[in-house]
Amino acid sequence: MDMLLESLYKLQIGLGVTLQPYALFMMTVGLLLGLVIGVLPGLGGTAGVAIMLPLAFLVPRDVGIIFLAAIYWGALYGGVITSILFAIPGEPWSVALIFDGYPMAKKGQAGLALTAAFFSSFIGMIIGSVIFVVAALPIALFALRFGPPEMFAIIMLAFSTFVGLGRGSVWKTLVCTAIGLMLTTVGLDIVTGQPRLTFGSIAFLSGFHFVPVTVGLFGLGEILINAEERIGMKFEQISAKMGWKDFKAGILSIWHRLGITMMGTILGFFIGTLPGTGATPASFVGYGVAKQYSKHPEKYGDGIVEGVIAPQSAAQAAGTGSLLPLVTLGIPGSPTAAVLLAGLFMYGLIPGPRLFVEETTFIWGLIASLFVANAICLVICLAGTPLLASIMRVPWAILTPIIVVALIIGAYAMRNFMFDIWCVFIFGVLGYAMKKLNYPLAPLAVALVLGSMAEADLRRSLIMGDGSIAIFFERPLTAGILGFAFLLFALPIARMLIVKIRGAMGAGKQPA
Amino acid sequence: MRKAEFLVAGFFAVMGIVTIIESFRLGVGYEIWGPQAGFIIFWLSLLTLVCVGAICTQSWLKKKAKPFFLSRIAMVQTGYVALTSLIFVCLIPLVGQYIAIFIYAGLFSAWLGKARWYSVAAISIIMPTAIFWAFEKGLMVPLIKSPVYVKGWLPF
Repeated sequence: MDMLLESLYKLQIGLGVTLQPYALFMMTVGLLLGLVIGVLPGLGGTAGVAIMLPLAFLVPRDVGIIFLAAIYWGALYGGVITSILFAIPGEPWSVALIFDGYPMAKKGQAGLALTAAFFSSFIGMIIGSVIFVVAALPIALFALRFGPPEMFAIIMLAFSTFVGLGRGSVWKTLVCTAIGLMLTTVGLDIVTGQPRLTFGSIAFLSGFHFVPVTVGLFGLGEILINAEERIGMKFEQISAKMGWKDFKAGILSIWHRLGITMMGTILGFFIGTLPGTGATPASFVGYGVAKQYSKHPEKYGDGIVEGVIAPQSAAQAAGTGSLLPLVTLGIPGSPTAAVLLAGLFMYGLIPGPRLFVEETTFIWGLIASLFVANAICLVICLAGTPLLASIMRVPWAILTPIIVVALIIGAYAMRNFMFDIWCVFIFGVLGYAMKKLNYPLAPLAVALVLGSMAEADLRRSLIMGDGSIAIFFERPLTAGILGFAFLLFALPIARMLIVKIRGAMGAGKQPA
Repeated sequence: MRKAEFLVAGFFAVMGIVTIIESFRLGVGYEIWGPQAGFIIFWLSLLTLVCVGAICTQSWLKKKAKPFFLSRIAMVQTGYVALTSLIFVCLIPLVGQYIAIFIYAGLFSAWLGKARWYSVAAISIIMPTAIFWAFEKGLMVPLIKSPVYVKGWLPF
């Protein structure tokens, strides 16, 4: 109870930060940018936050982090519009919305589908934020007891979730993690001071900064993907106008389906907290579970409002949930949260329980912004959907150079270093190729951001244990977390064995 | 797709080989206080090489491979966007960021966007001007100036 009261007190302090005119202004700018990014197909929320990362460095940190997070919230909302109206997902987490949202729009219920999606987003994020406020402080206080071995184990757990719970190739996930970690070793060795992997270059001596690399991988990479995918893209024009009747119908549709909204929210929040997952899998799981437990599953896909509410509330809650491990443990819950983590480092802050406890205004300003940003975004969406939908008509040849210039200038402005501009280009091309070949970029980004911390914690632990790795097994908590991480690393092998055994059993049952 | 798969995997393999050689120079052994400077690099390089081997084997064994580009037009379009970006990056040290933006935005909208001359002129003039006011005047962040800036012919 005391902890809850303390959380509420800190939330009040956070609201004081968030409700300052400058913070409100930057939050609204972030939300608008996020909405535009969400509407534009091919440019994801992760890319949007990555693009704006260097620019956020130019504003005070309390406001900068609110601005960056607002881009994410805006993108979560923005994807709704194009998915429902044009069947073009602005974001990967909006794909599940097409299944029922677009058929509803074609039936003349676009207004209802949009308002239901916006209100379910609102409820998903508000409930997610309440869970966040209740859970954050106890987790952070518990994590304060962690020493370097426990922190190393937690980071290993984050990497293991990518391998164990990832849907793609295990080898590609592993190689991305290894490359990300390797990039963090470039520069001076933290213990011996020896230059590592610099090959005599002065540019390499300062190491790879995660901002240009992330901006290249997610920003320029997405631009190149978009250049390819936009060919032959056509969309049917459906009216985006919404009236009071639609608002009322949208609210009532949520009210009559509170069970589905709550299910989507809680499920989404939990999935969001798992490192490396985020809103996309949450939206599919939300849709799938709602359909599975529905009394009329056959109606899903024909355009029913449940098919809009479930994935959208889950996606929005997952976005909120992905910040919980980020602010309490320093582990990102989604690729976008990984880029936000880079933002924390950019401000010279080391994410984790200590930051959570010591930087009250910074962290609780961010948490309070969840509530405020959500309310502002709902109003913008309800009022400005026709205008946002018209962004799709802005010529690609105008938008692309603006984005590319923003990427390059932003990356340069961080350190005034030409090397960083080359990093954006090279990692952009590499990111494009990797994405086309289904390499998961999230583990690379997370490894890049957490790599130095992982190495520092590993080496500190070994120094603590006089060079012996036994230190990881002598401490029960470290051993437990590492054991769990090991199980997750082994999960793909277990999955492969199960498939083989089932295959063999199936073959044995077949008649001769 | 298979060729692209080998190309990217090959790039990682080269990276793995180079870093593994460098790790030996740094020392891959173990001291009394813990690992030497090249210890972690060695194991990461080894992991990279093992993964690259597995990726190449899986790709080789795959019976059907999808094409890397969706179509020939898509390939050309992507190539153009990458090429214009490369030209932009190469121009920056030569003519400064503002003139590079002027050339890049004009080239992109005229060549790839097939925009009318006044749209091309508008975008290529507005963009560097807006960035100049935002960065140099507003945020006080200096960007790379052109060679004519020293002579005072241009404010950037």
